[in-house]
Amino acid sequence: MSAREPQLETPEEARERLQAEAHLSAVERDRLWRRIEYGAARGGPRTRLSRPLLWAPALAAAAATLAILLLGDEAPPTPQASTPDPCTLDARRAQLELPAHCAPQTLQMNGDEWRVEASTRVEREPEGARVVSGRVRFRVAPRPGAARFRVRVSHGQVVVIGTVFRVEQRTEGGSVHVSEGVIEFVWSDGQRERVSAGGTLSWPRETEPETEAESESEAEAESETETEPEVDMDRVIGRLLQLRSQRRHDEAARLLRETLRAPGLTRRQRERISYELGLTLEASGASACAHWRRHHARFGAGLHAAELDARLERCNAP
Amino acid sequence: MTSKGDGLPVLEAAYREHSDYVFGVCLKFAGGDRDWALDRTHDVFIRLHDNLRSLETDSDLRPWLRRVAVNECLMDLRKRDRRTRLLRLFGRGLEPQQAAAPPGSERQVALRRDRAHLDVAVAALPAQQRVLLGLMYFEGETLTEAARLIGVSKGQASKLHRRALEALGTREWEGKA
Repeated sequence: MSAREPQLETPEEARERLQAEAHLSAVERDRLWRRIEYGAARGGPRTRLSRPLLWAPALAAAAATLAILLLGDEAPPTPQASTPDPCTLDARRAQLELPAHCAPQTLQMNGDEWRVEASTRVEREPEGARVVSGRVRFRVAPRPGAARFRVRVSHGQVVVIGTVFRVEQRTEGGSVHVSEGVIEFVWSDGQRERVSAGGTLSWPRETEPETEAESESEAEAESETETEPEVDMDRVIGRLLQLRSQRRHDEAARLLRETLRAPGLTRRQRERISYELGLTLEASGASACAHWRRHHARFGAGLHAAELDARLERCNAP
Repeated sequence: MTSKGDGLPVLEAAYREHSDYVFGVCLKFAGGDRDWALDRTHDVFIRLHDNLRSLETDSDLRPWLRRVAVNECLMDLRKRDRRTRLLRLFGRGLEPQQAAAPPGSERQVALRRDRAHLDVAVAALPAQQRVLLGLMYFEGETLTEAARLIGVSKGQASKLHRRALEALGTREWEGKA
């Protein structure tokens, strides 16, 4: 700041400038009134349009369009009325479409980050987004309480618990790849699957949800425990993310070990927790080779085959 | 005075008369973010609607609107401060020079002619300091009145003012306090 000190406006200059700018255009005034009118007509709790009502930009855009139509030639030219650059996405719009010839765009959406690649169409939704086609990488900030960011795709939705992931939607199917944290994919039929860091889930399903390798009794037991889990996985994952972000890796590893010992977990849950434990041990700087070998012995290649192979290879290297 | 349902005409009349004024107040704390000022203006008029029954709409609404506008801006900025701290906690913080700025922080480097915008520089301050400086330097309030409006003692406001000027790296306006 000090380097810019000689160039800073004086308060008087700033006041004059702000006074000149403190004038609503006809379109702004009309658009804002429609928002207020809507909020007032709803009654009850005050309407906060900045964050919870993510569809507000759509309403505002519609109101602006209506205002422009109603005002016709009398409306003064405004940035909203000019032809937008198709390669510059407006984060306030409900529908975002980036043509094929454009460079990827990174948008800040109420604390979240959306990196939209070319040939992508994505829509804002009250609880998150819908990827209609193309590829978007989301970096989602943790939500308070039970609120969850959701991304709808053709075969279900991604439920996020504070994480970084990339969603790709093609004509017939798509995939989600998780870079950090954990997501839960809720299939259209209600089945749920968790995907943790390094994992990828594709749709539509290529196989039945239950693997043949699992015994019937095990599958039955899992089905029972999935309906009445004894461990609050959301809480565990939330706490894990918090501890990791604070680099409290020892506590994170302890949490995961305790969770692994808890009864009522499915085999898949155990495998994923064990995988997360390996990542946590690595992050703490400790050698995780012994853990990866135990993990492999217990779960086989499993859900994280490629990542596990790479790690075991490194461990076995001379 | 009126029920919420039939208060809309009164609200609309107040909006037509005072929207520029309220927007102008909010803009002084907006750090160059016009959309943010529009959102706060919205909040102020929703608050007005919620309070139509208890307000004398025949009297001058501006003092009430101004007080509410300052409160709304301060509350939102505080919320943003908390959120920035939380994001940092999760390792998702913005770069230091961006962290304290509001959305639209690309405007932080906005320059007109060869001058850096003072309100944009002020936007990098914590909520109370930002609103205090806005009130004192853009709204022309005294330290005492600004302290009253943001709900702190004069001594506390003086400290906030000193810290804000230190953060801005300038002391050339200290005599105004």
